[in-house]
Amino acid sequence: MRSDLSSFLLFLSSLVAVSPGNATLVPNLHLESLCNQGDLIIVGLVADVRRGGETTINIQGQSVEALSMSAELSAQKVLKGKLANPRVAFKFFIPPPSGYGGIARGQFGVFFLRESKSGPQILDPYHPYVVALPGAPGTSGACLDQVTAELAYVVASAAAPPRAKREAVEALRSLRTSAAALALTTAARDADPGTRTLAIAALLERGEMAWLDPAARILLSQERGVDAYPVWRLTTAIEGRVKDPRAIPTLVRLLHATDVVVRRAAAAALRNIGGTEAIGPLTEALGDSDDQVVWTAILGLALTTGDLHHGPGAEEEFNGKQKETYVNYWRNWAKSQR
Amino acid sequence: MNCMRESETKQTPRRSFVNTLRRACLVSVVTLLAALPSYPWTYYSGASVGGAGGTVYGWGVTDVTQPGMYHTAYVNATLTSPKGRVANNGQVQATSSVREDLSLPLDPNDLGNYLVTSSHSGFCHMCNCWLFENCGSGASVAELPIISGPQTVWWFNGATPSGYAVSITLSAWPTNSSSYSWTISSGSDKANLSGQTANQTNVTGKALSTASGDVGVTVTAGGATSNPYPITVRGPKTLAAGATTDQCNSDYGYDSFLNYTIKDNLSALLLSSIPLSEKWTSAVTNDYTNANWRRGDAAGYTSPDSTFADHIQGEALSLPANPTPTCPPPLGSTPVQHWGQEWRVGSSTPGSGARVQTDNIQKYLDHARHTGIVSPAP
Repeated sequence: MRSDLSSFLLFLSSLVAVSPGNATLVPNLHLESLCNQGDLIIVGLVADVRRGGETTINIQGQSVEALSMSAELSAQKVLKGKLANPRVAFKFFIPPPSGYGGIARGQFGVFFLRESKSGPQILDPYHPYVVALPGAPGTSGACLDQVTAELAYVVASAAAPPRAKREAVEALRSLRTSAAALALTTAARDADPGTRTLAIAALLERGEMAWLDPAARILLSQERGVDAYPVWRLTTAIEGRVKDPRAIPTLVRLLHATDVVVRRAAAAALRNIGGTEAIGPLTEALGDSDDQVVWTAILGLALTTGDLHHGPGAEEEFNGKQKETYVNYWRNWAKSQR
Repeated sequence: MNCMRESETKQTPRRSFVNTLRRACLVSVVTLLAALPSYPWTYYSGASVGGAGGTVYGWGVTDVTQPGMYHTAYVNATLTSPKGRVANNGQVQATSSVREDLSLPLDPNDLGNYLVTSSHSGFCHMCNCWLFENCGSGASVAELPIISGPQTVWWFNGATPSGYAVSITLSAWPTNSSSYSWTISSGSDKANLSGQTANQTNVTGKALSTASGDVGVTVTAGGATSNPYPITVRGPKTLAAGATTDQCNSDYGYDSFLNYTIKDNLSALLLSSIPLSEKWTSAVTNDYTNANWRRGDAAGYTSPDSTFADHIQGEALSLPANPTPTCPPPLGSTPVQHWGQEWRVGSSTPGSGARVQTDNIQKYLDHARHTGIVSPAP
């Protein structure tokens, strides 16, 4: 029974730990700062969580009432600081809903603590820990390298649940190190489609265009198991980060996707790339059934040719006769260039 | 051709015979020509200012094409700048027609009227005579004052986030004019000019462009007015809703993440880090009787890459919360409370920056959503 309860709590806490992206109002995960500012950085298991009394804490300059909590961490490794005892008690708080990360018994992770007069406390209540797995080999090096190694172990582990892997990928995404890139490359080949998609999105955000074709395969196959969030990450990466003309053939394939979100991302990337090589695909996109794709194509053609007089007006007013006029103009223009 | 010149030479008897023969041939040729369609012999010159670089082009053309005849066309053109820079390649010739092209690169301090003068000749080898010789033509083009500088200025409704140029400086050429008069020739409702010093002025936005390059700026210097210099006032305009995720939270019941991307008025993502904020626009309305769920303070945030999620939680189970938030999925439909919200981009201070969206936060027992979304929301 206790084992079942622990498993359930572990499941719950793993769900809580998943932080899809950079939450508004919630500061971004910044592992380098956590490493630099943490007094105690421990890989371990939350063995116990206890409720304390009510107190007042400061959140982003505002005093708010909160519940004081205490937890006991069973340390497996110490990445920074010194421990006299492998069991570490620390404090955390539960304020009104503010985006604070939860801490539950059974959670295993890399915990970032700071020393205070009343003992160790969570350093960053929004990101009290990052996911880890028991049994990761010990590593040497700086704190950040060791944290990266813990995350890399999660993404490489066949035993890690998909949620843990996705959380590890999200944490690795915030790191601009070669070790993090290597771990993301491993995750980009994971069996779990969600993990794979998030990792490929993170690699595209780093400008690694070799991952565009695998990304296109996912987006064109409507792969089962990829939920909306990883796909959103991937299309956003393509829309914002793909600017290499060598990507054009792949983007042309994406212009034929059934998912309009994918077509919009491809059209936006073509517009961003611009240049003579993009003119053909942008002209082709004039025939799309989606107004936003057509608007983007017209703007791309106007920007590429410098003919701003024939660029579209405000997107929300782009429809009907105005759309027809612009489409006809650019189609005729394209014909005249042949 | 009134510029045709008779050739006068001293004649010998032999030469006289040859000339008689030539005249006979000429009479024959003229007779034949009379039976043929006529072809206008032309010569002219021209000038233009081309390209973004402001290069001045000049040319001269001589065309004495006539089928069945053997003609040579000659031209000698000269392009001269107001300050005496000269482009000249000497006389060039070709069978039937010839064109000589010249150019002078932009010299921002050598603006004004550029002149092309050219001399044209046409020679017929059948009659061994000049069809016309040393005929002159001319053309001119004005190199207007030129504006240089950035073509994008950002506008955040008064906010000044780092990494975005909310004021740009334009410079005018020539730099040695006695006065400069700057004007917004189009889109004056979207941009302001300020801080003119010598040949420079600053441009700031006051509303978003509705089309790329819809703000035109001109400068008048030395009595000449430049062509409009196109500027686009860019800024955040919409929030594009992305994926929404809901999950359990052991302390608060649930977490809902409502993902967005920030887009500007050209529908492009803002790729540099950008601060944004939310603000409550109404009091909390409880949909669930005696609900004690608390509302956190509105706050700001800096997005590193134009993406963000509104992270909404249930209520602390330890409060104890009434009603008790539950863990999704599946998603239920029991509303607990709602209130108004607006989003602004450009500042992390609630209420500052350019407004991009209004909506209502609707909290349910096991998830939360934005409802009644209006974006753009100027």
